[in-house]
Amino acid sequence: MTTLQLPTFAPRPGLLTRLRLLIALGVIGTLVGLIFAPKTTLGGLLLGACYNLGMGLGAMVIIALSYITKAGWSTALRRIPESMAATLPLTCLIILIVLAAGFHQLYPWFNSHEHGHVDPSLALWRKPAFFLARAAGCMIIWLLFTHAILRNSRKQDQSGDVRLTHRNVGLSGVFLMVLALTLSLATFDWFMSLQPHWISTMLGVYHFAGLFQASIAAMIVITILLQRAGFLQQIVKPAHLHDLGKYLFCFTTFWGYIWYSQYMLIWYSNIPEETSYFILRHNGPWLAVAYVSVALNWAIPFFGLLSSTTKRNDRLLFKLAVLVLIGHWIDLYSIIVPSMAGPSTMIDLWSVLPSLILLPIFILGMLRALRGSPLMPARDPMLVESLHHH
Amino acid sequence: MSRQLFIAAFKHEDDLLHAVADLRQAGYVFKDAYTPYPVHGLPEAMGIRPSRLPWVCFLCGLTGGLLALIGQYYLSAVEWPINVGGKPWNSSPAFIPITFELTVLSAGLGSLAAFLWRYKLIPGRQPPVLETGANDDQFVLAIPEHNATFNPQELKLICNRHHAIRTEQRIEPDGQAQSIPAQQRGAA
Repeated sequence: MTTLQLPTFAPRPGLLTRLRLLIALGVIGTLVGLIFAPKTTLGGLLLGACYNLGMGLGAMVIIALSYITKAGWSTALRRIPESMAATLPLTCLIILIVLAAGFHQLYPWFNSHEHGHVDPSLALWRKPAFFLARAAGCMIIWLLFTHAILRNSRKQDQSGDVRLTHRNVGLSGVFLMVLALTLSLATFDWFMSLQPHWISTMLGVYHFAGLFQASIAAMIVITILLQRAGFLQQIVKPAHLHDLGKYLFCFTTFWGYIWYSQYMLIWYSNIPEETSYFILRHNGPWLAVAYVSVALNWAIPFFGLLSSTTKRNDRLLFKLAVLVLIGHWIDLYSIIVPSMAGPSTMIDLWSVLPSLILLPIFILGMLRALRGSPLMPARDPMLVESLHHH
Repeated sequence: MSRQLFIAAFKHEDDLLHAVADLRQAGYVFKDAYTPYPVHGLPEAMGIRPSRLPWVCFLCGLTGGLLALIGQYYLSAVEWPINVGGKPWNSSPAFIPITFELTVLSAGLGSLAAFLWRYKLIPGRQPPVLETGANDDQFVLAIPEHNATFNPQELKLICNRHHAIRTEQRIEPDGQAQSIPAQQRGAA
């Protein structure tokens, strides 16, 4: 292999200060919120933490998919999703704390004694300890796979051992299958039970569609920002952006498809335990949020990314990816907040403020991981193919 | 009117790409390149303008989708309303699957038809084979006589510099690719 100039990353110092300032602001806002409006503030904490979780898990799916498909094009960019996934331990810890501290505020089923007789299995399912154990179990599984896959990738920087790639291919396959089950369970537990009488078996895959789309958008944004800051300049070519754009386009379509599938099934069968979700969200001020969510997550990026010109143009692609990132936040907002803010509010400040802490925490964690490793997996056997991608 | 056609065959795709770059710099235009498999970067190197097929695809899809929406609206809300589960006559969520299917169907079939029509690939037609080597292991470049700068000596020189395994001049009748009779095919 030819000697390669290994780029290393260093963020501008002003950026870190500004992020820390945002965190301070968010902490003040959240503390005030916890006193005056604990329920929606806790909802906001859950929302912000789950946004970060989606970025990390989506990044893991990007990594796992490129391993099991033996994709060559994305190898040079793999450190970007790896740095996003490196934030997962802290994110999981935050979610666990929010759930443990706030579940009696967040989840109406905790105090409900409306039934004289409760099915013993349901009673066990509702036990706080079991609820937290399920969450912790899912997180431990995600973190074990993340740790193993990222460690193998970093080990390869030293050894260049091709067996590490094969090991990660195996791990990735198992991870994807396990994630499908655990993420569904977590979504049902954390999101669906916010409105305990509502049932949608599609909510798990809906959550996945959104988080995966958003993490591809985040990967695009980070790639382009790194390129603009002078890193990855000889490495990222229009062909890489084109592929990332196709990736985003593909899962934008997937999100639209899953959104419609959930909506259409519920609309068609029209039974009360399913429609309650949309009755709350598609009436009054929440309808505007629903429209904005569909516009940002599907309509605008779908038609914007149809043409290959947009996908190869870094400025247009960047703008569309940012819209998707905002859209995913609004999407989570429209899943979580209406259940606790009620039908007449549209913008609940207390549930927005915690994101001011959590998003900068994600960015800081990601930057730290990006700084801590070479910006390219230098001795990955697929790297040469990735560099010559056109 | 017939014109001269210069043909060069290469053994490697990189030789072809380099020859194309040099020839283009020297001011030549290309009739086409014939390769056993798609060569990345070749259309850009030859200066071929981007395909207009995506536009055909988009317009066909749009037509199909609109037709599906209008058709369903007309049938279920105007011409023959049927009460389905108490839903309104004009129930747009129920129209989406068929709209989607017709969009995909007409975009797919429309693109295919436009492609076949544009390249005159009518089923059963004898394909104009310029060089049989391109079906096998050779990368073949065809350069037509287009203006006074057409210089076979220079062409030969440039192509040989890039390890052309064979160069040849022939007459192209009426701008059509010359079909090779069956008995000659093995010889190429």
